[in-house]
Amino acid sequence: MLVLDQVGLEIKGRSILKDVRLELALGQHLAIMGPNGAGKSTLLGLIAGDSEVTSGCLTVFGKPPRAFLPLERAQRIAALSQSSELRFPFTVEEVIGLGRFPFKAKPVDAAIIVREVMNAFQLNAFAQRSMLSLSGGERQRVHLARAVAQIWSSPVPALLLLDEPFAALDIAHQVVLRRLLAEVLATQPVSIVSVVHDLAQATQGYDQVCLLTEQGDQLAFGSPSAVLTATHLSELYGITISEMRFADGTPAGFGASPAAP
Amino acid sequence: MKLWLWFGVLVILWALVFFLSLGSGYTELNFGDIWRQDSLTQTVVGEVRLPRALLATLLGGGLALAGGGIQGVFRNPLADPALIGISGGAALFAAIYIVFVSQTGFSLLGLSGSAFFGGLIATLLVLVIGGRQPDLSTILLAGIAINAICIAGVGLMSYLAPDQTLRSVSFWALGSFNHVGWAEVSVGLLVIPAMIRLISLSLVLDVLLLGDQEAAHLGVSVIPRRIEVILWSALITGISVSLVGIIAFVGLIVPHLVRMTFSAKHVVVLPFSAIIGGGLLVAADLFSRSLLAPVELPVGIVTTLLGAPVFVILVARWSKGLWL
Repeated sequence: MLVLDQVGLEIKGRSILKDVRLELALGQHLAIMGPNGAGKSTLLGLIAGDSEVTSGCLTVFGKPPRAFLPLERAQRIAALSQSSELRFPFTVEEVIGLGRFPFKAKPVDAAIIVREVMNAFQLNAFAQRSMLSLSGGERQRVHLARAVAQIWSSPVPALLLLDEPFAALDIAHQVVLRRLLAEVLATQPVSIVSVVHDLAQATQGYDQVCLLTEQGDQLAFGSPSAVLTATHLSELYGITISEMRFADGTPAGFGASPAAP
Repeated sequence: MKLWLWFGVLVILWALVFFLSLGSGYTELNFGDIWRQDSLTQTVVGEVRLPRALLATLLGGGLALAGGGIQGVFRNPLADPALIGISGGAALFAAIYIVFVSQTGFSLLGLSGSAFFGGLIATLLVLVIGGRQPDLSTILLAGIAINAICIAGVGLMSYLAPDQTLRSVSFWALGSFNHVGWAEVSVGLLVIPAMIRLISLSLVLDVLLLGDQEAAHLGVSVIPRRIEVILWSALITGISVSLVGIIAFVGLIVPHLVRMTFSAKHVVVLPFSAIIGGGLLVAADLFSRSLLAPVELPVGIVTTLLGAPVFVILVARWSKGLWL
């Protein structure tokens, strides 16, 4: 459903992304990883149709994202940016309801979906709270629920793009969200692409990983066990990175030892 | 209580103020008297007070609604057509029209068109100075600068103006319903299509509040819609300024009241602002002509005296991290 073939992006003669190749099947979760400034969010934006690729070929559901009409695209691709600021006293329920904007459905039908999503995100108790009264992490959760509402019970396959969805969440909420995204993948006809920063959690819950270098080159693409190796990551970040394990021996992500050069 | 019931209550309140305004003034009439067919009543009510109250309703409603729209499109709860320079630009171009064009042939529509154009230029300047992601301070600072230039321009125009037009130029800086008749009302009716179109864009305005990128991801064509909202708001403001001068703070305070009391969704904010703004301006006009009767205060002074303290409170709350 998502295919990138030799995708590149140049802005004003400067190369941002080079030769990105990947493929994502329905129901899979792809993580885009790499150091600061590697162009992870830019790549997500290309998939969302924010701008045109300057070389190669990028198709979502068989078409370049910018070949869709804006509303059509919004009916199949939901995207959550890093920060959504809202200075107006909308309620949680109203914000999630905005996710149904592309569908022009009857308000009752939209309300059913909003209710289901609030249930899934355990936001029922917050439904009438003003966004201005919530903490940063709570707001993040609401905006995420809005993006999920956009692709909820979609009659056709859909794509959910998340830019650092775990950034403002504490560890308990990260676990909850991880479980929730797995549930969305299991129950809805969607694929998810996430920009991920935290290597400590990198091994959990992704089917594919795309590693970008600081220059926007694709270092590796494939299954997490193949791509996420201490060697790859040490090369990528230029410091010594080791794989960590829980006491029972299961993988626990990656970390840099304090003595790393 | 259901929102539409509240809306009904507000319509009744507006009607009360409206009829009070028809009866009050130098010739006091009670509710039964204003329907009389004698020539005095027909002149006082039919030719003076009725057009005045109708225009105050149209423009108060239009300005409050345009304020709500401008705040949405700038994503800034403290934006207001008068504060960010739209009214100043409209007043300057209206004054230029009066001084340079009206000797060769004056028309109210020409005056309104000129004011609309001036408001539009001022808004575009604010957008250019404020950048693509305008935050609170850049908009207000750009607005202050543009307002200062425009008011200086209005001053220059009144200096250049021949004596008989001098008064009509200077009133733009103050705002007044003193001269209003049916011709003004007929031009004022032009705000209605703009108001209806803005209300029909309510959901789009809600989505725009999330940010340009978010709105695009939800299928909104951000730039055309933003320009459209600005155009309609500038049209309302331009018509209003050309007919009665600068009336500040109605567009700032009323949408705030609605958001605090009812809902922040534009489908509520815009119509509720219209009915409250309409009633408020009729009341302000009534107040401005009763306070020192038979002398009339310019109504813009009244709305500023009422609105500025509220604005100060809002800014103080904002500096404490509370947006509303």
